[in-house]
Amino acid sequence: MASVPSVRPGATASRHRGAVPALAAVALALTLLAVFLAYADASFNGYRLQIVTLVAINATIAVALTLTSGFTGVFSLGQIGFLAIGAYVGALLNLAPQWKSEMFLPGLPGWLAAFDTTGWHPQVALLFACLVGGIVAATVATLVGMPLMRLSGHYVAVATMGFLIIVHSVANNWSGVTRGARGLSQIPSYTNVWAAYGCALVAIYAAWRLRVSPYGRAMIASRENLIAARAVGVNVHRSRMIAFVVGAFLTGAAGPLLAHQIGSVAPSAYYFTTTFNVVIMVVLGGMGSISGAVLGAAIMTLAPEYLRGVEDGMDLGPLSFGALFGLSQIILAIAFILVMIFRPQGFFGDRELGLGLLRRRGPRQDGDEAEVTPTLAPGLDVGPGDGASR
Amino acid sequence: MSKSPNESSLVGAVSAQVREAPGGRLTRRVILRRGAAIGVSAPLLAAAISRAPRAAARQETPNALSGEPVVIGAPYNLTGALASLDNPARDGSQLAVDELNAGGGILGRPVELRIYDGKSDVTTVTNIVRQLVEEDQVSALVGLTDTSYVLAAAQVAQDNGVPYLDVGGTAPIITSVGDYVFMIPFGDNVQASVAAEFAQEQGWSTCALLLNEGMDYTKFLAQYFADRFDDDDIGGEIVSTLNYGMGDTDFSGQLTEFKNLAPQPDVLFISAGPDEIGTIVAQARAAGLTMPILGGDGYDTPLLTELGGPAANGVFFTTHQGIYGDDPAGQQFTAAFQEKTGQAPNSVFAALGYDGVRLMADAINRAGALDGDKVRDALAATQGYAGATGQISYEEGSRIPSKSVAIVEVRDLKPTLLKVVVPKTVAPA
Repeated sequence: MASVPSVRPGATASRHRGAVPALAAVALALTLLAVFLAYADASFNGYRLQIVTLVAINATIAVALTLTSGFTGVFSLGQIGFLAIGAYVGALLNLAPQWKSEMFLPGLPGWLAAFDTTGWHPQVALLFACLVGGIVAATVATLVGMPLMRLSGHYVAVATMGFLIIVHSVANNWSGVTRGARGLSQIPSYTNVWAAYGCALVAIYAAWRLRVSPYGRAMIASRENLIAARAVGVNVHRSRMIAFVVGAFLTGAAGPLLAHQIGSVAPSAYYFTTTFNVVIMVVLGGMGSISGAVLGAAIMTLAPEYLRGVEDGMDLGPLSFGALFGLSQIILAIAFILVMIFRPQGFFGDRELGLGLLRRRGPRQDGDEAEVTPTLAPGLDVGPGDGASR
Repeated sequence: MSKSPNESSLVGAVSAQVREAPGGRLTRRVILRRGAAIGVSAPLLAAAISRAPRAAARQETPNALSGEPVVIGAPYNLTGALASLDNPARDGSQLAVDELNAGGGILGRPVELRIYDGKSDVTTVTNIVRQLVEEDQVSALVGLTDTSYVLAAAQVAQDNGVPYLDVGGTAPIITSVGDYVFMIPFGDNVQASVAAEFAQEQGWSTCALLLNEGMDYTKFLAQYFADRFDDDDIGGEIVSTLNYGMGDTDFSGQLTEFKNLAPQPDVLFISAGPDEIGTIVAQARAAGLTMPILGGDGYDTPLLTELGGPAANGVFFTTHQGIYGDDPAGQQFTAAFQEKTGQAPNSVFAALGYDGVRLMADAINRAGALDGDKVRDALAATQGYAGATGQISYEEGSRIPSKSVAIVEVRDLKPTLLKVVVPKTVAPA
C-alpha cells in the first residue's frame, strides 16, 4: 500500500513540522467560529439564523459526499436518500405523540407512536435523533453498498440513483408511516447553530481523519488508478464500503438537523433537485477536497438567497427592470458554467485549505501536479473512477 | 431618474478591468477571464443595488393614502412544479392590492404586496417566509396553493404570531397548525360532501370510484366522498374502487373492469389531478362507459377539455365559485382581471389569490390595527364576507370557511355552472 502514488515520502515529516502552528491555527479558527456563532445566535433574526444554520447542514452533507464520491471516485447520486432516511427517522422520533395521532399514521408500530421525547431537553432529543438517523442510514448503506460498491463509473451513478428513487417511492407511498406526498409537519424546531456547526465539525474531522488514514489513502489510490491499486493489494471494495457507509452515517445524522430546522419533511424535498444541488457543491469546491465541499456548500446556500434580490427588479439609471422570477437560477447556472470552463477541477481541486499546515501536501505546484499526473504507468490509467474524480 | 452613483461605479469598474490588461495586450484568454469576472460580479453588484431602492421603486399613490405602507407578504411558487397554479394566484393577489391602493388602502395607508418566489421547494419556501416575517416584518401573509408548502409556511407564521391566509391548499389539516392560520378555499371534505349530495339528487345511487393513489388531494377527496356517499341519508353504494399511480397514462385496465361490472354503476367518481383527468375521460368514453363522471376542483383547468375533447361533455365537478356564473362579486372580479391583464382568468386560483388579499385587508380594517393578535381575532370573527370565490364565514373555533361550492357541468366543451350550494352535512375532517 505504501507505494501507491498519492502517498508521498515527506508526508509524516511535514505533518510533524507543522504540528504546533497547525494546532494553533485550528484553535484560532474554532474560536473565531464560536465568536461568530455566539454573535449570530444573539443578534440575528430567525431568517438569517436559518441561512447560517443551513450552511452548516449543507456542509455536512457535502463533506459526506466528498468522502463517499470524491475520495473514492465512486460517483453516488443516492446521498439524498440517506438524508431522507435520517430526516424521517428524526421526525418520527421527536414528533409529539398527539401530532402523530392527529396526522393519522396507522402504520407506525405502537411503541413508536407513543414514543415521547417532548419531556427531554431539546438538544438531547436532537442528538438522539441524529445518532439514530445516522445508524439507520448506515445500516441501509451497508445492505445497499454490498452489491453497489462493486460497480464503477456510470453504473454506480445509475444504481445509486435507483436507490434514491426507491427511497422516494417508499416515502411517497408508505402513507401509514410517512403520510405520503403530504409529508410530516409540525416537527419541533430543535436545531440551533451550535448543533448544526457541531455536526458539521464532526463530519469534517471524521472525513479528514479518514483521508489521512491508510483507509483514506487506499480510497484515493483506487480512485487514481484502480488497476495499480489492486496490484499493490488495496482492497478496493472494502475501502469503498467504508467511504459509502461513513458518508451515509454523516448524511443520515444531518437529516434530523434539517427536519428540525425546516419543520416539515416531504418526499419532494429529498429528490433530484436536492441531489444535484449537493453534487454542484462538491464539484464547485473540488471533488476530493473537504475544504472545497465546505466552500461549495456555503456558496450554494448563500448565493441563491442573495441573488433572489435580483429577481424583484431594479432601477439602474435610465434602465428599469421588472421582477423576473427564475433569474437567480439562470445567473447561478451561468456562473457554474464559467467556473467549470476556467477551473474544471473546482476551487480547491484535490487540495485543502490550511497553508500546508493541516495537510501533508507540499508546495502548491509540486503537490498539484503530482496528484493530477499518475506517476505509475500512465498507459494503465483506465480506472473508471478516474473520470469521475475531475 | 438621474444616473445613480451605483451605476457609474459599476461602469467604472468594468472599464478599469478592460484598461488594465497587462502590457496593453488583450489576449483572448485575458478577455475571457475579464468577461467571466464581470459576468459573475455584475449580478452580485446588481443584487446589492437592488436591495436598497426597493422602497423608492414603490408605486406612487396619487390619492389620499398616506403613511408607511402596510406590507403583506406573498410567498408563491412562481417557478417549478407549482408555477401553473401559483402564477394566476399571484396575479389575483396583485390585482387586489392595486384595487386597494386605488381605493381606501388599509387603515388609510397604502398597501404593498411583497412577492417572493418559493421555487416549488419546501426549504426555499421556509426561507422566504422567514425572510418576509422576520426580516421584512410583514403585517400579514397571503399565499401558496399546495398543502405541503402551506404547512411549512404556516408553521413559521404561527411561531411568529403573523396571521396567514392559505390561498389554495385544501387539506383540512392545514388549520391544525395553529390559530393564526386560516384557509380561503373550502376543505376537501366540503366539496366531496357536495358531490355526494349532488349524486343523490340526480338519482345516482351506485358509484364506481377511481383514484390517483399518489396524491394527497386525490386520496383524501375520494375518502371523504366515499364516507359521505354511503351515509344513511344518501344511501349510495360504492360498488368498486380502483387505483392508479402518479404519472400513469394508460387507464384501460381499470376502465375495462368498470365496463365488466353488472349492473353498470350509475356514476363514476374519478378523483384525479389536473393533468390526468382529460386522458381518463377520453379513455373511459372509448371503453364504452357512457354514465356521468363526477369529480373535484382538480378538474378545473383548460386541460380537461383540451385533452378530453368531446368526451369531456357530461363531466360534472365541484369547484370554487368565482369565474363561473353570475355571482356579482365573482363577475366583478372577472371584469377587473380582464381589464388589468387583457384576458379572462383561466384558473379559479386567480380568484382565490384575490380573495386572500381582500379578506386580509378587510380583517385588518376591522381590527383597526396591524397587531397580529387583533387581526387574528378579526379574521376568526369573519361572517358572510362576499368573496369572489363565494361567501366566507369562519364558524366558532374553525379556520376553514364554511363556503358554498360551485357544481359545474361541461356542455359543448364549455364548463357551465349548474348551481352553487352549501352541503347539508359535511364529512368530518
